[in-house]
Amino acid sequence: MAADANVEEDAGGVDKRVARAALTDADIDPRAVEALVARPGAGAVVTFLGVTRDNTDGRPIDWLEYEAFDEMALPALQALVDGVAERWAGAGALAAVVHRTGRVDIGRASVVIAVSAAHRAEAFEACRWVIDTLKTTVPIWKKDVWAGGGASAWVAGQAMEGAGWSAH
Amino acid sequence: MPPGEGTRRPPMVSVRLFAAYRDAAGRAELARSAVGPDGRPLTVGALWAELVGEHPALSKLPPAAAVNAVLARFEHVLAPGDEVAYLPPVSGG
Repeated sequence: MAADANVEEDAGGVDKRVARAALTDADIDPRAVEALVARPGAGAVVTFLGVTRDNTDGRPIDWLEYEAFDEMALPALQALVDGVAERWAGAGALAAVVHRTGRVDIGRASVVIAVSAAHRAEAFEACRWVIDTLKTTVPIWKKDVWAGGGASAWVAGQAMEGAGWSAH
Repeated sequence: MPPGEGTRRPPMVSVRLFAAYRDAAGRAELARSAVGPDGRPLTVGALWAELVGEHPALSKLPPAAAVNAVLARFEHVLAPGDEVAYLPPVSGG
């Protein structure tokens, strides 16, 4: 389908067929996420890694367990990628985001976000927007599994945007 | 349904519960009637109230809801065959 390839590539040389939002139950390679946002017009790439801490409020934990409502979480992650392209269109910003599911051991990345843009200010700003927005728009939950015996508790979360009854 | 069968199956919706809600209810999926005791279609909020009545631990966390994997307000009216998911506060990242 060589004829279609040109249609799918925008003026900045971005192949829109490449998936830039993903859920995975395997270790995330940050370099691979950065590669998804490489483009000739970029002058900056900002990468954010959310990594699993060894404690919650001082209580030691062995690992974290992530659960996603896949059918909804994947479109919500894609909406973040699309949101960056729209909000920072003038900077030619391009984002990719990959989030873990399942068991994530201490010190591993639970989420990796990469954003490229023409200049660093927009790349930093857009990357910050993705992680902040993800926290209230993507149906993913994490559970602390405490050290010494496997007891666990769901981490207190944030209400999703648009939850509950409409405001009247 | 085969012709001549005597009983009509009530219209149903499927319910999915995640994370703390699944633990509170003891299950991830259940089938529920799409209509209330008065025979009228249930809203997302009315069905949630039924579930909380049966599993009081569900009331500890305020829910968001999705119908067919799209975020929905509590006044959204359910149709037979819908899948309604109740989502506790999220903690991704």
